[in-house]
Amino acid sequence: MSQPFACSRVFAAAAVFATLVTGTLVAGAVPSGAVESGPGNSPVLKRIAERNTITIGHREASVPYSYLSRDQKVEGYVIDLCTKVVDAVKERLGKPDLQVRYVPINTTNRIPLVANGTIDLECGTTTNTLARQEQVAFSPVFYITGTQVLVKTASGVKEVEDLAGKRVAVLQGSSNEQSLRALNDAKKLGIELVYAKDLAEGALLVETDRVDGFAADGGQIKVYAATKARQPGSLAVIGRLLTYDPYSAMMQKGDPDFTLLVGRVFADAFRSGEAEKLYDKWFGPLGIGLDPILKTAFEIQALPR
Amino acid sequence: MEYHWNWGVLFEPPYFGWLVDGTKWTLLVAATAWVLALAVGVTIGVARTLPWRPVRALGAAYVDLFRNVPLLIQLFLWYFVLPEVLPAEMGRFIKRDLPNPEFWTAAVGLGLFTAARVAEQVRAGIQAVGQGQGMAAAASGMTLAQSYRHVLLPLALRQILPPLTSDFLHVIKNSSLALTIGLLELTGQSRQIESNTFQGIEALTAATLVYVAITLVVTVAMRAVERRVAIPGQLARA
Repeated sequence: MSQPFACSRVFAAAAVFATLVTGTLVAGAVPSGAVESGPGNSPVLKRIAERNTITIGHREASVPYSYLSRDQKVEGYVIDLCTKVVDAVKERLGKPDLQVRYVPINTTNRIPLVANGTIDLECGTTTNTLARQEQVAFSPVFYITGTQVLVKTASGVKEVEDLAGKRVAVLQGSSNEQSLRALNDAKKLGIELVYAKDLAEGALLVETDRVDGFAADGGQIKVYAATKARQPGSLAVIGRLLTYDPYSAMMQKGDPDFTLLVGRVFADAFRSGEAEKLYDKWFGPLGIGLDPILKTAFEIQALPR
Repeated sequence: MEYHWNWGVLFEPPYFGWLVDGTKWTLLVAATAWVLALAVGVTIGVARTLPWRPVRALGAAYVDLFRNVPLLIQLFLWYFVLPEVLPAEMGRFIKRDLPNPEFWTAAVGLGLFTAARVAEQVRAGIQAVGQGQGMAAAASGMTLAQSYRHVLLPLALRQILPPLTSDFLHVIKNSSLALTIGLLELTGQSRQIESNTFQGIEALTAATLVYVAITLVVTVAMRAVERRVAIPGQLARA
C-alpha cells in the first residue's frame, strides 16, 4: 500500500505546483479581477459552446417580469437581467455571435425542463426555496413578494379569512397554492380551491365571478389589477403577505462554475445600481416603486468582486 | 441529468391520497361522459338512418360539429364561453351554484364530443345490418320503431361492440383534458404531486400505470360482454 500512497503524494505535490504556476501566469497575463475564459469544467458552458446557443426559459404572461410582448418579443425586467448573463457568457466563451433561443415555460414544467438541461437559464418568476434547491440551482434574489389575493373591489373582502367557505383560484404548482392550502387546513376555512393555468386565466376567473378570489404573488397581481382590469379600479389586491417569496433564476444543479458566473453578473448589477435602474424602467411606468426590502436585498447581495 | 429518485414519495401521505382522489375523478368523469355519449350517440346514430331527411340532416350536423372541433377547444367553450352568453342567472348557476362545476362541464363536454363518434359507429352498424332486415321487419307487420327496437338495433349494437370498446378507452384517456379546466383528475393530481415534491417522473409513471390498469380492465370486461351477447352462427368473427 505504501507505493500508491507515495505516488498519489507526488501527484498532489505536482498538482499544487501546477496550480501555483498557472495561477501566477494567469494573474500575470490578465488584469486582476478578470475570470478564466472558455467553458472550463462547466457542463452547461460546454453545452452552450457546442450548440453555439444559450437557451433561456421565459414566461408568456408575467408582465412586466418576463412575457411575450404584442409583437411576440420576449421582454421584461427578468429578461433584461438575464441578457446581462448572456453577455457575460458571450465574453467568457469568446463567442460574440452566440445565439439566444427562447423557450416558453409554465409553473408545472419549469423545474423538469431546467433539471434535464433543456433550458440553460430560467428567467421567470420562480420562488427560491430550499426544497427546490434539491433539484435545481438558483441565482441571487432579484425580486421579493408574497402571496396576496386578487378580488373584485366591490366584494369588500379585506383579508383572506373573509373568503372562508368561498371559491378561490390558485396557480397549479405554485408556492401560493401550497401556502393557501396550509392556511385552509390549519384554520379550517373551508375555502374551495380552483386550479388555473396562468395569471391571465386566474384573473379571468375572478372577473367572470367564477371564483371570489385569486391567490397569487402580490407583485404580479398588483400589476395585473393596475393594467389589465376590464374596468379600471374594479380589481383590488388585498390581505397580508401569506408567504415570503424571493424570486431567483433557475439553472441546472451541479455546475458551480456556471452558478458562479450567474452570481457574479447579478452581484455586479446590484453593486453598480443597474438592477435598480432596470426595476424603475419596468415598474416605474406602472406606478410601483422600489420596495425598501428589495432595495436592502440588492445592497446585501452586492458582493464585492 | 441530475435527478434524485424517490419512489417512496408515491406512498407517503398526502400524496398517495391525491393519487387515489385523482383516480376517483378520472373514473367519475369517464363513466358519466360514457353514459351520456351512449345515450346521445345512439339517438343521433339512429336519427342518421331514419327515412326523414330533416332528421338525418340534423344528425349529420351534430356529428360534423362535434367531431370537427378539437376536444380541448370544446371544453374551453363549455367552461369559459357558455356561462357568459347565457342569461346572467343561468350563467351564474353554472358557474357557482352547481356543485362541482368543473366536473359537470368536463363530463358533459367529453360526453357530447364522444357521442359524435358513437353516433357514427351506430350509423355504420345499422347500415351494415342491411336493408333486407328492415324490409323483412316491415313485411312482417312491424312499425318502424318496432323494427329498430327488435331487429336493427340488437344486430347493429352487437356488430359495433369492438369499435365501441375503443371509444370507451378514448373517453378514459381523454378525461385527462379535464385538468385544463381545473379538475384535478389523475393527470392533474400527478402534476400536483410533481410541483409539490419535484418527483415528476415517479408521479407520471404512477398515473401511467393506473391508466393502463383501468383500460385493461375495461378491455377484458368488454371482451366478456362480446362473448356473452354473441348470437351463435351470426356475426362470426375472424
